[in-house]
Amino acid sequence: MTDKLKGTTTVGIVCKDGVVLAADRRGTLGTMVVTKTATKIFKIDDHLALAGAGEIGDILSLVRTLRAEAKLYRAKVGKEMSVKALATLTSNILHGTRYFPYFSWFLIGGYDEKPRIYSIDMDGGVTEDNYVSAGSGMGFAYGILEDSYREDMTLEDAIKLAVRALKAALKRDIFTGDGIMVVVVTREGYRELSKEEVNEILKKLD
Amino acid sequence: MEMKKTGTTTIGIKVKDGVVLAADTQASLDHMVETTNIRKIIPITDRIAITTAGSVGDVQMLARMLEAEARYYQFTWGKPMSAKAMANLLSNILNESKWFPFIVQIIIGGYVDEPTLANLDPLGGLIFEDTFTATGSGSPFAIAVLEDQYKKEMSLEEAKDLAIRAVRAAGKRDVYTGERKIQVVIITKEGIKEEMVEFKG
Repeated sequence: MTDKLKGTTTVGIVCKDGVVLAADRRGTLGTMVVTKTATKIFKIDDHLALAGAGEIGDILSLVRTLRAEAKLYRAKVGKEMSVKALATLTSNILHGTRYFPYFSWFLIGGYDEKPRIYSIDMDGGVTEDNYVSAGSGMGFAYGILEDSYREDMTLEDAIKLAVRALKAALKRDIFTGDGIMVVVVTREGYRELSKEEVNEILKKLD
Repeated sequence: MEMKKTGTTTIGIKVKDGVVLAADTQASLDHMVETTNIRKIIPITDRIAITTAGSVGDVQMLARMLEAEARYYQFTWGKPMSAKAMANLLSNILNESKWFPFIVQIIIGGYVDEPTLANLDPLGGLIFEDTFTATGSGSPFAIAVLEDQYKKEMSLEEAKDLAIRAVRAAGKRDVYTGERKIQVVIITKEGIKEEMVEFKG
């Protein structure tokens, strides 16, 4: 199935103070690069983020549904959804469309009592882990994560690791490229790193 | 077809003082782990070694052919065959068998006149590498680690550590790559040194 989810590398890392999500910015149609500024990480609520690999239309559609559900949940329950709740909801939606699927693989990260990351495949299979990756370049990313992930990492270390994983995928996976988007979710909420911040990290790696 | 395959991660790193080759030690037969104690790096001369990925039988055959040719070369010319010459020879052998190919991905490493590292595909496609290379089912994982941490000025000891880390990362994520035991071969001006590195748990 992963051959259908080409054109992306997404990475999610849990650390002491939050989660880091990172993705490349290349959008492809078959073998042609159609955009160099694709957004593959989305804010679902104040402390909830989603990274998608696969059909961009399917991802956007699901993001709209999840945003609406998150708002509705707040109105009904009076508090923000937990990360697990969002993962379960996503899983239910994906499994419900099993025979007419969203061609995407999602990483859901966020902060409730503590930082958590879930990986959800096309059929709705959920796994929680300390570090996850998806997309055509996931093999390269997993190589770096497996080698360098530590449980007691600071947020800064985790950002650096995510960028390193993406950088390797950018270099070696033809469907991954055109820069890196990084998002962190901490107790304070969702924050996308600016281009300058990402460039600064990249510069220090060389 | 059931065939003993290595389903492997093998890597080669070139630094200024020599070449490091590393590989896992698991061989599979279809979906079964056949053995976790195979040597995938085969010395050909006292200065050249090749790594195995693909059909074990094919690589062993090629190794025997190369060994004989290297001896014959030494007899004829009174000097050892260089790694570059052997890589070209192997490329010719592979390409001659185009219609009944050897199912192999071979890395050849050696230090005869200078550190040499090359990568061969089943039809003899030959690429001399200046930095590092990886083959086998686990190569994406390994190559990412190498891409991330390789430096040209590395010492042999650092290159050896990096090689082990790269194969280990592949062992953790590729089902066909074993992670318990790693074979490392270091080739310098002085010759070939072999080491088996074991990990627990």
